[in-house]
Amino acid sequence: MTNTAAIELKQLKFAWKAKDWKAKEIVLDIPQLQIPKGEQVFLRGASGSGKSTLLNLLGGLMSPQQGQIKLLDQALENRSQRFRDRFRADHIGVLFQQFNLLPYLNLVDNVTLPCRFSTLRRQKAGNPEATAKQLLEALGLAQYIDRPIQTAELSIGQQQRVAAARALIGQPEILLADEPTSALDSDTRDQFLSLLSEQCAKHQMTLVFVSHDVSLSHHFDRVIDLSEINQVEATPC
Amino acid sequence: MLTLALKSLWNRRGTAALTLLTIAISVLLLTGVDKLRHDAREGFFNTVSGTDLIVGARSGSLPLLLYSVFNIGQPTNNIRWSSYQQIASNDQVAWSIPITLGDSHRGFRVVGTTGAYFEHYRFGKNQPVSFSQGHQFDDLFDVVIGAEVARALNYAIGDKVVIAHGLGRGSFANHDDKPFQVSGILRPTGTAIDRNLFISLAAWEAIHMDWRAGTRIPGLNVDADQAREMDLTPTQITAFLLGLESRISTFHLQRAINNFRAEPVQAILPGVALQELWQVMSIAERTLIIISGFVVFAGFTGMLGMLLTSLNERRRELAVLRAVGASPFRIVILLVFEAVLLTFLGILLGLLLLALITLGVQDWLALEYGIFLSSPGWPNATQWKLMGAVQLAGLFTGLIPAWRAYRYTLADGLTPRL
Repeated sequence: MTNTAAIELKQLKFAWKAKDWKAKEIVLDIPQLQIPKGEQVFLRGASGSGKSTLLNLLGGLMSPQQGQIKLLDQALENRSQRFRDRFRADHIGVLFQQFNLLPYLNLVDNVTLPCRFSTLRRQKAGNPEATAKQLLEALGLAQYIDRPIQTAELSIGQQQRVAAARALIGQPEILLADEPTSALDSDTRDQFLSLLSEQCAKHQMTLVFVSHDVSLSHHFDRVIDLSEINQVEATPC
Repeated sequence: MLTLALKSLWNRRGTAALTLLTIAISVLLLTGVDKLRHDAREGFFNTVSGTDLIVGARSGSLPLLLYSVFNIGQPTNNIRWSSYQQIASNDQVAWSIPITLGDSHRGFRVVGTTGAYFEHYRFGKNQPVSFSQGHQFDDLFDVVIGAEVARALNYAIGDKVVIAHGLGRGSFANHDDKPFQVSGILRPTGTAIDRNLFISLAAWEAIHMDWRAGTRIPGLNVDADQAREMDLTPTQITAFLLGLESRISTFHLQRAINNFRAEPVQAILPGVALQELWQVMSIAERTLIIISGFVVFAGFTGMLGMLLTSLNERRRELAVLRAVGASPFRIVILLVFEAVLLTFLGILLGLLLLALITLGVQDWLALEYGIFLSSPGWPNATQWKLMGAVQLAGLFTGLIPAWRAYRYTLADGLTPRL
């Protein structure tokens, strides 16, 4: 492969309410951003700086008004919603701040959830259930696997690790994380980040970790400050 | 995907069960009212057939119709035996059935009549009354009982029956000095006939020998054997049914009877009176239909409320599903499926309830109100239509939260705003 970028943005512009598009409503204006495959990037941004929007664009949930988004050499900006949903299911793992889990599914079912939506990830996972158990073990949750417990009974740190296992299953090339550690205390946070970066490295996954907390940046290969690449001034909340 | 929907619904089974119940109750009401309407109509129109005129003391056509063939209401007045004989001997009259009412047996009405009843009475589609066991009254104190009477009181041929004076169930004035013996049991007809006991007019006369104005005449005791020896020609009857030689003469004879000089009598056409009755009933009927329509509406409003409330709680769930690759279309399907499933189960439960309630109240309704519900069975065309309409309404109700969820998922993306 000639191009080794996992994520490539060019002249990207995004504004809310595309109908009456005025300059002041522009949230993102990124002339250039490249993240190579396998890199673990810390994307720093204050709240209101458009980082959630950027994640939604990268995840294919929203489409930019202008510019290019290339993920894994695949241009996404002009593709249909259906194509982008499929692409996300196949190639992207997502981690939220909290409440990542479906309360009515057990741990293993929560982890294998992406395999229900993506044949590719199901195939990569081999036996989804066995793989899910391995991942849960690797993330230190071995003792909970076979217990019929409600996901709500787990601590938030444990829940986030289950969510990480879900994002990792079937080895998607890109992992998008939206402040997954903001609800954790500092000890579990560092432990969680080590586990996450270890797993990403193991599977050569590209990690985009969004947070406003600079103290976490030492876990990552590169730190990108959103305010530096985004030409739109951050609007105070 | 659908297993996800099922698991999610199961997770909310408390509220889901309540919603299910409201839908089931609305379906129950809707189909129940329709069944009641249908069966009551069927029952009424089937009860009398082939009778051209019903003649009784002058009152109104509805009361006469109701007490003479439907066992509903009290007879107002009697007519003289001589009047009956005079009218029945008219050239136009093919057959006549005299009827005397006023006594009962454990809540079932006793009809005094003649053998002509079993020969000429027709119900349903011109079906004659027939015996499942035994025969009509031969002996003076023989009684023929309807199928429902036999079933409810567990009577067989040869059993002794004591007739009570008056129509009240708790009547203490019994004709216990002259017990009757069951000589025949009629086949079920699904009409008021099933709840009647039949005795001969002579027997009626015999048990009322020593009675005047609703009580025993003190000192006068005529025992059963003495009664046999006496003249038992009736002096009066309550009403009589006429079958004519030719239908064309019906109106002519009706006019002649209404102008009868000897005493005030009235002749009615059962079909016309039934239509009149049904016009009165149709108002109540329509009201019931409208009310059950509103109940269905309320049921779906409840479901909509539940779905929309749960939607707020489920915004994160939907965001998670979006994140792992569910398309907005799939989210829509998820919510619509939920509504459709709830409606479907609600319909099933409603029908089950209807069947159970029908079985439960069948006897009581027949006994108390003379409404014969058909036993629960496969839904009829109207019920299919009603259920189809309900299912469709469920689908459309599901589209509202689905549309909302669709908007949410597009607006929220990966970050549900709460």
